[in-house]
Amino acid sequence: MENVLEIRKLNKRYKGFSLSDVDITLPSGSIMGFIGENGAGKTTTIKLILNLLHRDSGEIKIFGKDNIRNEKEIKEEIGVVFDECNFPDTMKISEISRVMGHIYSKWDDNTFGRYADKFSLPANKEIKEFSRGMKMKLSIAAAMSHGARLLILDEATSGLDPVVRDEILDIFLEFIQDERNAVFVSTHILSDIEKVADYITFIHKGRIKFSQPKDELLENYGILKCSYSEFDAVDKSAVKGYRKNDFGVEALVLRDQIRGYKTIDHATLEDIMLFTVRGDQQ
Amino acid sequence: MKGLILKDLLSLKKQGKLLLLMLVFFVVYSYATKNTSILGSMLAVLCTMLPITTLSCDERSKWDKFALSTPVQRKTVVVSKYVLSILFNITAFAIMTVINLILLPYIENANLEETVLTLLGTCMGTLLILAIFMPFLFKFGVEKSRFILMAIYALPLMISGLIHKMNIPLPDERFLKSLAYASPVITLCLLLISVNVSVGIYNKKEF
Repeated sequence: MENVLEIRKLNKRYKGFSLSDVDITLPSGSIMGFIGENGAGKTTTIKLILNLLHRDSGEIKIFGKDNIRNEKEIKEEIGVVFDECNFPDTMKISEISRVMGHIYSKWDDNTFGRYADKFSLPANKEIKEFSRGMKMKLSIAAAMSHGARLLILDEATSGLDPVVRDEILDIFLEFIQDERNAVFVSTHILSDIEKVADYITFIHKGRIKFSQPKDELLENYGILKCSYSEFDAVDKSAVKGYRKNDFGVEALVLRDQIRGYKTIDHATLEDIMLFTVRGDQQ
Repeated sequence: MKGLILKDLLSLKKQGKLLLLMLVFFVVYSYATKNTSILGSMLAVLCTMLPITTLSCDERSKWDKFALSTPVQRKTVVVSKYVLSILFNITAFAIMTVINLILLPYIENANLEETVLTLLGTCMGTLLILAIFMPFLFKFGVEKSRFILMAIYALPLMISGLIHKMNIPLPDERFLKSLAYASPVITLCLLLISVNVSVGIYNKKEF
């Protein structure tokens, strides 16, 4: 399996925030959920991938090619959706198709038209009259109509209702049916990611906390519920974060390093994220 | 490049209608006052406002971020703005020439050569302002650049005022005429320098 996206030791420093030694590997045929709080570095990472920001150091390879040296060629095969619609709001669907036809060498009017129909986007309305859901669908349609092999989405599903989000997730799943394709999606709506992602990458304060297969992650972690005294006896290297209350302790633990406790519950992605952030502060 | 220019033209549609309306108004006005000089000034202001209009439209929809995520190169974004402005300028100049020629018989003391030279001068002057202004526009963005543009407008007035104050004798008519004919070459050189400076600025930008 070829890697669609490889990021090695990526660094970008700002005053008060820096992205440090980011490593991410996205194999083809899969969807990666890129999660983290607001301001954790998700958008910065995505902008570095797209060379919208200039990196300080590190390496980014897309389809095995350097993202700066082979920029033009790579971008022919990337579809990008940002958190808002970037087309001028006085344009109509047909006009967008005409413009994009001059921008991507493999732009396909028919594919775009099919998506526009599928999403029931109004043909004779200007974009400014579109709802937020329609605008996002329009951006996604545009991202999928030039034979892209990698879709990159930055918070594209936030602010959308569950029905629309579900439709969009279906499109991702359909897209990766072609084994050469991959999706890299940043979001903080964890339930969506839990449904479709194969890999989860969690970024916190500019550093990657973990980046691994979702199933492995959900299998490895568990929520231990125990009393204070029991918690004291637990090997702390297995604890990733905990929360104390009147009844005892809830802790995110690595299952295979904890023995003898019966009540280790299934951890959700949200548990893993919240406890990891908490563990960082403890 | 074609895609970017097409996009700008499409998003300027609305302003286009307004522009046409203004044109009709000023033609009638020129006819009524028997003086076409206002047409030239209007041309100059409109042409220099155009890049501001398209860039402010881009800023609003964060178009650059998107465009640069497609195969469009940074250089192309910059050059396309220049090309659009120059195309607009030349078109405006052509329209104004035609209008002037039509109105010529109705204007008092009209002189064909002088009219054409004035228009050519206005056209080149506008392009010159563009050449000076565009790098500022790319560097500082739309909001701040509006003030810079005003300062650039004021520059010729200041210079002519200074010449008058210091009693520097005006160059003779023949020199001015040859300057007008040479102006396209001078303007072209300045535009080329300007494009390079703008590309340099834009390459350093982060989105």
